[in-house]
Amino acid sequence: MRLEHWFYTVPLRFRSLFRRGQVEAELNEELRYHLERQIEVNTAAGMSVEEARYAALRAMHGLDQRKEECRDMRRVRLIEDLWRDFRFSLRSLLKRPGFTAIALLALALGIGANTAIFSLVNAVILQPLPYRDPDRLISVYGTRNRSTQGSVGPTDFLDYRSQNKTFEQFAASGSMMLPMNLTGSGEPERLNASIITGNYFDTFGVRPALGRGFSLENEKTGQDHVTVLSHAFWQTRFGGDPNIVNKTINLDGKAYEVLGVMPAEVVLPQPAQLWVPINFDADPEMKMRNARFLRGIGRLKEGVTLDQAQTDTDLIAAQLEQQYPDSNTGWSLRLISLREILVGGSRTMLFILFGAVGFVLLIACANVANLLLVRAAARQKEIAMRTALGASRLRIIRQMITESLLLAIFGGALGALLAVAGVKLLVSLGEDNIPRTANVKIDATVLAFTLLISLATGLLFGLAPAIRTMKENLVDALKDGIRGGSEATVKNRTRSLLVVFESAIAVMLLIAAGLLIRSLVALQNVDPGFDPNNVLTLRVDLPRQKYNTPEKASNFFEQLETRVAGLPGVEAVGLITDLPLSGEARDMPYRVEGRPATSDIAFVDFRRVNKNYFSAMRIPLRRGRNFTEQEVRQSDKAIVVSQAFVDSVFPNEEALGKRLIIWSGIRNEPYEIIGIVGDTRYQSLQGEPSATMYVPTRELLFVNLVIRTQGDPLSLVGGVRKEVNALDPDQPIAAIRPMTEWVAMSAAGARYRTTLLGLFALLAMILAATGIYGVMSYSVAQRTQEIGVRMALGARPLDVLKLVVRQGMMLALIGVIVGLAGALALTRVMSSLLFGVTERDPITFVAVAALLIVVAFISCFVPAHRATKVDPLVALRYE
Amino acid sequence: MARQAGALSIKPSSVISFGFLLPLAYREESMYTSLGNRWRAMSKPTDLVQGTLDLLILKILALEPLHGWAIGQRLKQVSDDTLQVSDGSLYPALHKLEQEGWIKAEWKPSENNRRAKFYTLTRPGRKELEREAANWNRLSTAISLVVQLNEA
Repeated sequence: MRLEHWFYTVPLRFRSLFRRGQVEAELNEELRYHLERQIEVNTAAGMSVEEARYAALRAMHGLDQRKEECRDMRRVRLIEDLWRDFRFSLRSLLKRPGFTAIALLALALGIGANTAIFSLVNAVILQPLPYRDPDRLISVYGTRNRSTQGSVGPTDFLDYRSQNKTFEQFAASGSMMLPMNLTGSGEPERLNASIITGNYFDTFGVRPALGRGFSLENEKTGQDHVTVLSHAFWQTRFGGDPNIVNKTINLDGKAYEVLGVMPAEVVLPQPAQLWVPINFDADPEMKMRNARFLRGIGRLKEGVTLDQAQTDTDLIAAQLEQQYPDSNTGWSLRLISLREILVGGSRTMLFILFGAVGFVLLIACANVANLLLVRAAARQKEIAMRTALGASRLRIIRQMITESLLLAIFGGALGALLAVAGVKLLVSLGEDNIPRTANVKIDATVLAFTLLISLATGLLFGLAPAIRTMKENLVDALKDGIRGGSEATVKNRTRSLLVVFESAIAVMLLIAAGLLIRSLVALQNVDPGFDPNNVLTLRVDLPRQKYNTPEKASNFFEQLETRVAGLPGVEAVGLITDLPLSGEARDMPYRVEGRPATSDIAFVDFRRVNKNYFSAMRIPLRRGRNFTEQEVRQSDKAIVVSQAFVDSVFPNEEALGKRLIIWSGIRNEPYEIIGIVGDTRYQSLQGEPSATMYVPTRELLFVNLVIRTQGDPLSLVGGVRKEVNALDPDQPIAAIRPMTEWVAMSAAGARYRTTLLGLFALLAMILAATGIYGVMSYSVAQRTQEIGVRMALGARPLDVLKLVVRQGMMLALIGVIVGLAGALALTRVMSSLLFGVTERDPITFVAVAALLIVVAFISCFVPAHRATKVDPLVALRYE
Repeated sequence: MARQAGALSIKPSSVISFGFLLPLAYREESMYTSLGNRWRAMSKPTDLVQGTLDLLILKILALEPLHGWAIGQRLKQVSDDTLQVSDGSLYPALHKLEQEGWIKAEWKPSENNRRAKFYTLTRPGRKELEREAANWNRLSTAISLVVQLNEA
């Protein structure tokens, strides 16, 4: 039945759409036939031909209206109208290029910013991690008293791996990159290797593109000299040699067989250049439960929750604690989902940015709505005319909405183009501050989002003017007398609301940006406790095989220190294990001699340094004395501590001369405090400086040099390199940068979000200013006659100026007040990003309010000034 | 209420008086008429009355294929001039029935040897006619019963 129905109707619809000319011709012919027959009848009844024709037409009650009714019956009106509206809208937009360009620009900026930020949110938060069943991957940390995220000891790891019941796979990697020196063919190169357990790749569910990965067998002596290369390293060092598998390369003086090459798209949490297996039997260190240097990664069994796994490992931890109280008291595992680890930290920032661009888009919407309202007023007559000619209200709204949507979609397309450039900028600026930036791209999901917000935007800003239009009074509009009356006031009310809204949102964004700027300034004004200017830092890692005795290594560094100190322009050469603000740190367990041992083991951030470190970094000696050359050379049991250490450990005692029991790797040994130096922010610029303990350098395989120079620190790089190569031509140096760069890098995240939010706030302010300007200009144009009358009656230019400015400033002020209130409510979400200011920082609030008032004043002043130039004669004649 | 132009008008003497439900309209959009300065929507006619003209046309076409002019004449003729379909409303109705698939059109020479658009009932149209006729019978019987009630 239905089918038979379609058999008749479907061809008709197609005909109506695609053979419109023929269908129209048939309609005309059919009606003409009717009229002719009626005329014949009428003439037969005695009418004249002329009379007969009129009578026949009259009987139709309007031929064209009937035709229109017949057309309505074709059921393709919607499609026809849509097409017609589309063409009409396009023409009408092209007819006003100025309006269209401004509207498109506002929309493109708003939608472009949203698209760009959404592509970040999409890549970082929404997209699943690029591993098999990523939701089952769990990061595993060793923790003391469940508060920290530290490392796991190798023997503990093996116990957890064999005893747990909740993990399908349990793997680990070194918590820090293992520096390895590649020698043999070509330049010596220092590589970042990641040491991993044999099941590490399997846990993630990734496999090499070439060759194979590791197995648990590779954790044993004899099988452990194998490596898997990263795609990038394989390309740069070996030119993508397809026969690399099974070849050997020379790492730290030993031959390693290349087992495989990872594919380019695989990004593991530790971006290593190559991977080597952990040999759990290689070192005596591996047997020490107190040497914790592994980060675990686990894959939960199907259906197991994080809490169940935590309970499971807690049981094992309790057993280990009983068995090995010396090393394991207070230690357990802390399980956190990998996703949380990778993206958790940037979530707040991304959502705040997302919110910010959302606000920017709202302002852009308000601006375009404003423009459309002004236009709608100008088009009042056109619309009244169309209504009089029989266009229904729905038809007119539909046409206006089509126009808005068209504008929005073009704006969206431009925005997408802007976003392509914007995303590149976002990624290049944020590479180190946002995880997973490699995934950021404008893909189908992002474009779908763009389309969606474009349509939503179009409806949002198109609806207001459309509704407005429908309330227009047809007769008044046609009568041309629309000036100054109550109608104008009503429309102005809508526009005024938009101005208030725009200013309020701009204020909120500016305050958010202001708070971040204040935080950044505070961060940059933090005294790091050392003088980073004119200091060159670089790192030297000696291969263990070549420098296989402590003497060889310490000889090397001693000679290097002397040689570099002899270079022209060098003031002091300091050595330290981990540079401040480099993200690297080590903890040392200790106990104060003479105090009772508690179950809580105290740990302190400790750094091995040479005698000149303090002078090279200009860290002031507060009390006591520095190390002597003798103490450094012999690695004597003398320590220097920071003021924060003294304050926390010996608040009411003399610290100098006190002895600390320190676990030295083999046994507990007493160290004497000989000096107290100023605090240095080693971990981050934020927060209180942590307590630090300095131990004289002993036989180390790696060292960071901090070289205090007289001039530009980078000018020394060549000289230092020459000295290193004079000592060992195979020895590379790494991490060459001025100390100022380390400081800058530690504030990079803050700078990144401040830059972005500042940019968006600026955009919001400009859009809001344009909005105020537009409304005031229109208002002045509307009131030209009134102003003319006032001036004719004796108003001075200043009075006119006041009149207009007062009107605009009222709106802006209301907007500022609303915005301040909104900011009070909203800035709480960003408290975790603030430093050195409260979320209700009065200076920021006052400054932003003042800024917006000034901007609003300028936006009002220009049209107001124009109003004073009104010639009363012209104005009174103004039509 | 203003009468819509081109409606099916019924003579005052007619027994069938549905005047309160007029006008018949074929515009699918709601209509507006200017009353003073405001714009006001008029209520849509009910489907029942809207279907009345359809029923008449379908019935006439069930007898033989005709063109629009002839349908109008036949309507007047068979209803003894009681039902007068305005020329204006006939064609939209025909086009609607055609688009519904109940009647189909064909260009043929007419009785005066000129090309005219002849409408024929289709199979679905015949079914529709049966349905509408049954509805109508039910309704008119019911109304007759009400009208013939004796006043107490």
